[in-house]
Amino acid sequence: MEDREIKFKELVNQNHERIYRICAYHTSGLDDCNDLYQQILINVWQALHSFRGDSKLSTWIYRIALNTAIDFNRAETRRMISKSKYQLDLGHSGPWGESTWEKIRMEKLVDHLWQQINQLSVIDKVIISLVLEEITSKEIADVVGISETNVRVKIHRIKETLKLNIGGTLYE
Amino acid sequence: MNNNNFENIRNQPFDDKLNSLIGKLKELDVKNLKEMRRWQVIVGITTLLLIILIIINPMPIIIIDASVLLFFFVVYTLYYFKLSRKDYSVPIKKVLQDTRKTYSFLNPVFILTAVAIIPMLYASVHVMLTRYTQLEIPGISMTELKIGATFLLYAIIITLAYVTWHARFGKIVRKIDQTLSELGDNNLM
Repeated sequence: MEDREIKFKELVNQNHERIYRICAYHTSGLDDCNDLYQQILINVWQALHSFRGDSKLSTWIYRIALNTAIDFNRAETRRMISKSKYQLDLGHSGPWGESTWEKIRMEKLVDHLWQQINQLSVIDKVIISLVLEEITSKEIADVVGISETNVRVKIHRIKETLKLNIGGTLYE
Repeated sequence: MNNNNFENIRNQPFDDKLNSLIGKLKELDVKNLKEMRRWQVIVGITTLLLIILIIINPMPIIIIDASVLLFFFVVYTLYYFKLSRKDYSVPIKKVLQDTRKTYSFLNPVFILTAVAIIPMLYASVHVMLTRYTQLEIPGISMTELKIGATFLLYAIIITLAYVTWHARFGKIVRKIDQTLSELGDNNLM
């Protein structure tokens, strides 16, 4: 088996869920999500020779995934909508209360949060998707190509915007 | 990329899925290589035809036009070949800046072409006016007429190029500019 193939397998095995989540953040439906996932893997395969370990592997993956997502959305002029299958799945599988009422309430809130995230600009959406992935400010700065301070300011502003629009309940 | 090639992969167990995917990616590599070779052959044949035109010298206008076209054909091919190999593993801001350059109306090759096209147009107008027509306008010298006609043709070509670019890429460029300004890039072209 080629070295490239081994590296690719290892990389996808370790990161496929992470990549898939990024796809879900930046697409509106399951088909788009799968198409984007596929496109990211193609770009990872083609860029594999360029990975020299200068940055963390996760940073490298996020760069490829998010650059591909931005290109994908630009090319297709796709817009995220609130009711994608993935978003409903997210609502059901989240750590919400057991009662039906609570589930419905949380689904509505998650739905509302997604709507608000969809209103954000391309870069804010990129940053918030990395925040949701629990990536550090330093790594977000490496992925986006701006300073860490700038990232922190942006995260604060995005959170404030979301908090204001959602009304605080879900945010808290 | 043909998405149907990947359709069946989605329903397989993960390891099989990955192996199938690698197989498809290798096929894609071969396909891309073939496409590149095909493009190289097209560039080669076109270059050869233009060189033949220059050598057999059917008309002076064709020699000038063919040599200028040959030069810019090669430059454009190299430029777009370089741009088409997009590196997605660099920071988002850098990718956006590169994309902006690709779609920019005033990219370096366009500026070079826009300047070099002037003598080509002048030579064409000169040949058309002196060899193939006997056009004379009272009160206007032949030199003035040639300059005027060259300027008019040049203005038409640049306007057409701008309108085409604007319709095709104007919106994309505005969006990229907006995103870059959000990232604090103040050096927009």
